[in-house]
Amino acid sequence: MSRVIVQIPPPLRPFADDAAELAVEAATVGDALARIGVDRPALLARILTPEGELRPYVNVFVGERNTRLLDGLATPLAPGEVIAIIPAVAGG
Amino acid sequence: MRRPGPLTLRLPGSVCATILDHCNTARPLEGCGLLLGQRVAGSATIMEAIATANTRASPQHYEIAPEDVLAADRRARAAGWQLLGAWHSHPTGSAVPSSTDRGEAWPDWCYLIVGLAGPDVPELRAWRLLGEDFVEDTLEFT
Repeated sequence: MSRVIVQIPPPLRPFADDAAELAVEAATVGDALARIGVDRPALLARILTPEGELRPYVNVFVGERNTRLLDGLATPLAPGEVIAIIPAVAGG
Repeated sequence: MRRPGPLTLRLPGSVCATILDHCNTARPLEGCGLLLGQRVAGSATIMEAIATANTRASPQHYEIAPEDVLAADRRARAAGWQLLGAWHSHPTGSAVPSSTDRGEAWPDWCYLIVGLAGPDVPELRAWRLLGEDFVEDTLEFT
């Protein structure tokens, strides 16, 4: 288990009591998201599908690396790493 | 969860110029970028507009690479600001959200739209998705 920081983007802060970041103990990205979601199910529902997969319009970075290009939610975490939840920005 | 109310968006002239220049340069494709600044209660001040690539390279759609969104978020956090929202152009349309905008918008985030349908003066309007619909915010040019 590693102590890591999860950065919350402004569009999702209303579902995280307006927190800009949260500290958790976690071994993987999925573990970290599950832990911040324990008391914030509405936040977690906007990041993960009911099946527990990352939603297509959300990306999660560990440092500068997109977890879609790593091991996804199974990406392991080292102490002090910063996880950024990044919303897709698109339209027409 | 807080209940969003009316918002006045303060837009400095230099930031406005950055947005309009990029949107004109991007024509006939949609131009896009991100808004950085400070938001307190009923007002938001845009400190910086970052122009980004439109990864959809389309006259009718835009998308910003997640790496660009990450970099803007990092920049905002380092400055003590926040990522307030996004801006994009409608090269042949008005500054009103499209159905695609509605389908892909994040609630209570600022969306600035530049309408370039007119022959000369661009139209600039600010919107937020509250519930199922966009509401228009007040733009104050400073």
